[in-house]
Parts: sequence; C-alpha cells; structure tokens
Amino acid sequence: MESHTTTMATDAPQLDRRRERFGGLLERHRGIVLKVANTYAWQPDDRDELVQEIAAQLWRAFPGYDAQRSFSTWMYRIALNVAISHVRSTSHRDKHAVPLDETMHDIADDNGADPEADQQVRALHRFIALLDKLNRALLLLYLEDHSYREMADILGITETNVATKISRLKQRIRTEI
Amino acid sequence: MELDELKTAWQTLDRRLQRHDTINLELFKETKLEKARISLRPLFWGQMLQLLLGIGLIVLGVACWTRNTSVPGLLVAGILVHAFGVVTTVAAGITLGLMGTLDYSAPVLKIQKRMAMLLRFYTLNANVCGLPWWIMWVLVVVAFAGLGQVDPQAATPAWIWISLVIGVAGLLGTWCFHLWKRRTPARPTHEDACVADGADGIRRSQRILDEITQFEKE
Repeated sequence: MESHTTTMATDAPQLDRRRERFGGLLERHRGIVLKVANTYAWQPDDRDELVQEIAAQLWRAFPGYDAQRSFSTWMYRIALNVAISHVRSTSHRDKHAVPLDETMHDIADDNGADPEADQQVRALHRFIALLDKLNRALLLLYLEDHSYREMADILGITETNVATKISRLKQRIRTEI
Repeated sequence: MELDELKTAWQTLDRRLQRHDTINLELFKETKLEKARISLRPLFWGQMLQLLLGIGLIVLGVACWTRNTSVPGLLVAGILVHAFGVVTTVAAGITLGLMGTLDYSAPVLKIQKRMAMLLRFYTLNANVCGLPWWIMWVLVVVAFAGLGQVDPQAATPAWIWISLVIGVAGLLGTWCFHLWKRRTPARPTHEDACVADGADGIRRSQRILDEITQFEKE
C-alpha cells in the first residue's frame, strides 16, 4: 500500500510535466490541427468535433512519442489518420450535404475587403471537395511546402510515388479550377 | 487557376483560421481531452466482455462434458459450448490485438489499411460469435442442466427440440435477410462504425481498401 502511494505521488508530477510539455507543443503546432480539420470538415461544429478528436488522439499517443523524431511529422500522421476516419464515419450525415457556398460562410472574410482572395479561397475549397480523402492529405502537405521526403514519410508511400501524384494534382488544378 | 494562386489562397485561409473564433481553443483543455479519450473505449470494453463470456463458456462446456461422458446429448452440448467458448475468446483476443496495434502515429496508408482490417475482422467476429446465439442459448441452458443430477435414461424434453427448431429457423431467416440485403443497393452507412451488420462491414472495409489501392496505383 505504501509503495502504491509512493508510486502515485511520483506519477502525479510526471503527468503534470507531460501535460505541460504536451500543451506547449500543441500550442506551438496548433496550426497543423486547424488546417487538417479545416481540410476535412467545413462546418464549424463538425470542425470543432474533429479538432477535439485530433487533440484527444494526440494526447493519447503522446506517451509513445519519440522526442528524437520530428514532432510535426508525428502530429501530421495522427491528425490525418483521425481526420480521414472522421470523414468516413460522418460522411453520410446531412452536414456534408449542404451546398458548398453555405459552408464557405464561416471562413469568408468578415468585412469583405478582399473579394479576390475570397474567390481564391472558394476555388481552393471547391477543389479540395473534388478530391478523395487521401489526395486531400497529399494536397494539404504540398500546400504546406513539405518536401517529397516528408510527404512520403507521413503518408507511407515512396518519394517517386509522391512526385507522380503531385504532378497529377498540378494537372488537375490547371484543368479543374 | 495556377498552383501559386492556390498557395496564396491556402495562406489566406490559414490566416483566417488562425484568428477565427469558431475554433474553440477551450477544446485543448485537459478535462475535455480526458472526456474525449474515455469516449474511445466502448469497443475495447465490449471485446473485454466478449473475452470474459468466452472464458465462461469454456468453463461451462468443460464442466458439462466431463461430467456427462455417458449421456450423449449432454456430452455433445458440452463440447459445442466449449468449442464456441474457444471461438468467442479467440475472436475477442484477435480484435483486441488488432486494436492494440493501431498506432495512429504510423504512416497514414498503413493505419488506414490496418483500420480496414480491424473493421473486417470485427464484422466477422460479430457474425461468427453473434449469429449462433439463435441456437447456442439452448445449448447453454442444457449445459447448465448438465451440471446437476441427470437421469441418463431420460428422454430429451420437448421444449429443447422446439427451441432448437425455432433457433435453426431464426438462423436461416437471418441468413436469408443478409443475402437479400446484400443484393439490394447499399444505403450510406458509417464506414468505421462497429456494428454487427454482416455484409455492410465487409463492404465498407473493402471500399476503404479499394480506395487505398486506387491511391497507391494512381
């Protein structure tokens, strides 16, 4: 009993330290979570739900995170895996069936100062909507300026495969937008 | 639209997202994380219960057949309950094993394949360990009866035969329903939902795998 109490006492500060470290890293890299969530869920409540799911899964996996490896790569993998599964489990909901322009309202520029930028954002969203879940992940990583090597590492395909897919994506961008 | 414009749009979107109120940073707070974490556990506890049920069936089956080696009906019922207990335990063990190896920080394609495999195996598990209960409940009752004093000369009670006939009819009916469902166009369902829905689970897992294969081949 005494040793159990001692273990609990030593575990608590360790857990606090872990939470603190996790909170710091999450805050620093929160953009990754937001961007992934925004690529896979466009309605505010759906996106919030996805952000929460990603954050929960990150926290759950955090004890296994190897500090020698890149935190952002680790985070992208988890965020994308959760987002793809989330879209699968919610794809039938009416949420996703709303007309595309309606979903744009919450990310549109509130003061309408830049209609050209608005138009580009809409075009970007329309293009994302045309892509399947895995190609969306590829586009997101590409737009985030990741190297082919990083993309291959996150997605689990070869660099050559990434290069081929990116070239096809570029082609689609030209023809479909 | 060219790629550069798309990148500009992406950066605009990024700036808007960063300042947008609807992304509630409260979500990152510890209490909500813990709640969300707890909500991920139902499948785990479901499988743990199945594991315990399987072990219980093995104990019951062995207790029944070892005590009634001279009563053919009870011997067969005991062996069947024992065997079904082994199948139930192994299936739960494999499902838990697959769940345990789901490491979300692994590359995306690897995890998506693993999840499709888990969905497929879970569907199989749910059917193999769920459907036989149309009949198994009778055998479990018989096995329990076999633990007490039994007259080896006594005839099998009529209710057992009636229940078995109803059970077989129910099993065949369910099977026919699944066949019919398979032939009708599938309605959209949760691809990752873990429900005992026969062909749908297999179909959904196949869809996920097809999607991955298509992406790899493209």
